[in-house]
Amino acid sequence: MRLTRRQLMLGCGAVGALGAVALAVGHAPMAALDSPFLGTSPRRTLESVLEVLLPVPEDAARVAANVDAFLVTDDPALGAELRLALGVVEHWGFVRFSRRDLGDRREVLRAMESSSLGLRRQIFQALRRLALFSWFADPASWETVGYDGPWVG
Amino acid sequence: MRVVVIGSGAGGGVVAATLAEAGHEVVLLEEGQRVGRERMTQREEQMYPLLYRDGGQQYTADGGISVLQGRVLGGSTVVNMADVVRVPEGVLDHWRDHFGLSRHSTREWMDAAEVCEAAIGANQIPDADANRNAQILLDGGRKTGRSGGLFEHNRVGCVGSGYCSIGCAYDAKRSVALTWIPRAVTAGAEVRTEHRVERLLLEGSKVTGVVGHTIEPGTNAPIEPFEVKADHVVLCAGAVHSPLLLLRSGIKGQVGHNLSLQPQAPVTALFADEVRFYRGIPQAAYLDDAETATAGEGLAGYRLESISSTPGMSGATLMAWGPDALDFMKRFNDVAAVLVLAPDRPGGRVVEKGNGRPKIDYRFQAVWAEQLRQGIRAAAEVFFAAGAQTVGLPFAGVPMIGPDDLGLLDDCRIEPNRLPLISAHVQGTCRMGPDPASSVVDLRGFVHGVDNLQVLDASLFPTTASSHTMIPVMQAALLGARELA
Repeated sequence: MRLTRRQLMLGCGAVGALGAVALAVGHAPMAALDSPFLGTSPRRTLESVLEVLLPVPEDAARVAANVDAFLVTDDPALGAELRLALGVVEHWGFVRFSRRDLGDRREVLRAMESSSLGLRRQIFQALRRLALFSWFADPASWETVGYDGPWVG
Repeated sequence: MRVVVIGSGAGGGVVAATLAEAGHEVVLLEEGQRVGRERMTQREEQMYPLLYRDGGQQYTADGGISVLQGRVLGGSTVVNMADVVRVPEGVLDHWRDHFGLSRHSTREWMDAAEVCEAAIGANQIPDADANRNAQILLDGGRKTGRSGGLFEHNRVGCVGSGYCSIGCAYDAKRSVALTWIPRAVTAGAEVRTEHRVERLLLEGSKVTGVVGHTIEPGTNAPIEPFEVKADHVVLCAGAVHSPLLLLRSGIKGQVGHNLSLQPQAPVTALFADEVRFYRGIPQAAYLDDAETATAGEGLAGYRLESISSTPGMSGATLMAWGPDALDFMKRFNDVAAVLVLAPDRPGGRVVEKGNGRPKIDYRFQAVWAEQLRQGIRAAAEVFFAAGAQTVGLPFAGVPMIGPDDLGLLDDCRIEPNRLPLISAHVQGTCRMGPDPASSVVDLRGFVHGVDNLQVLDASLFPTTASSHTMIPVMQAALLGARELA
């Protein structure tokens, strides 16, 4: 499925749009092993973030791959925004985010969530929306939440 | 006279039909697609990109408020909750006394509302159609001494699927795309979808036409340039894009100023037995005892309304994440939810960014924040009175609370990205008024200093018009269109 460019607006607040993106390409062929758009380091950061934010950490690689695959075909400015946001997450502090263990990463994101700096909260909430929309809008999660799905189609 | 109408929502649809039926040659231009019921799949990831501006991901510049606007033939009337609420008389008094809007009497505004409501099949939601979520709000309201009721709406033959916000697959919601626009076409109007207007052509004090590009469905990439000549242009692109178009065309002054967003916050609750809030009419009930509409203040206070949501949007709107989000969502069928609506004061601004896109600057206001906090507290009290086990205050890091924990709310900070705020009622960026120094359009909706250009959408409201803006926009559009008809 081809996705709309306008769905993805500039600004970190818009990173939540990727939630729809990730899901909409969820059944497309997976990205190649190497990151096609984000680059290896931002892709690793994204997976590291999703492992903490998603209800099921094991789904992180799949969701990250879907985002990455989509970005090849859409607005390059959006990818730049996402890379920037992930760069802030990755390099905030003395130890890179993706090299921390799961517990440490959880604490870093919790600190972002409650930060006094508006930009850190903005990035956190954008990534949180990305993760949670992607996961819960996916039919694969509906049985878990007891949602009986659309009436048409 | 050849009239170009830009935008096909609550304003544009009414204007197009009114002017076409009056014998004008009308061309209605819409950036979005024509989406019929057969394309309404009830799937979030498919419908948000198809029906909403930026796929439903338009935000204020600081990311603090989601600004929802339709971008489809029929505009926001295709994705709204179908609530039929007029401009209250107190607000009209306020506009007259404080902003000089004296051209039309209250009677004329209300007569316009009657015409518009009849056109979209407005009717009272019957008690039998109130879902459990609505009943909980009304029950808790009664037990806490509050008052309210069930909305009037523009659904006819509703089957109760609950997907109003991502398009009605049954044509039960009588949107502008199913009512005013067919009337316009019958009267001879030409409708062009996937036409993005980028600039008005100005010669002296006259608009001679508009230019833009057709866009590719799906990607929105520009395809072919177009130009449409016009004797008169009516701008109905909504309170973000109407001012943007004026700014791009060199019309400045107060354009883009005085933005109101009326930000809304959700409050959730868990009940011991099933609610299934996502089925039935999503927004059927309200409690409005704390809302006032007076000549002195306009719309003020707060109100509570039952609301539903689909799983993806629920997950994104929750402030929980990881296992906590899963724990909550495993009880999705036990969730009840209300929206707290607190009118704000004009103060934000829409400007054009370097890349040509709009930037929505908005700062939280202290009075509004206090009203919102009071509304959140009231919602929690209503839920507990109705038997909720726990209530979810909409703040990051705050767990579900019991009835003795409401004091926690006092420590919650109402700041961007600490709570999920939604604006579905963007208003006020092309303010109406007699003085060009403090307004953009005159009392007929004509842009000051331009002979043949009107703005007839939510942009022209001096302050927030109502708790719901579909009917107020239609009222204003009908009165403005009659200036030409």
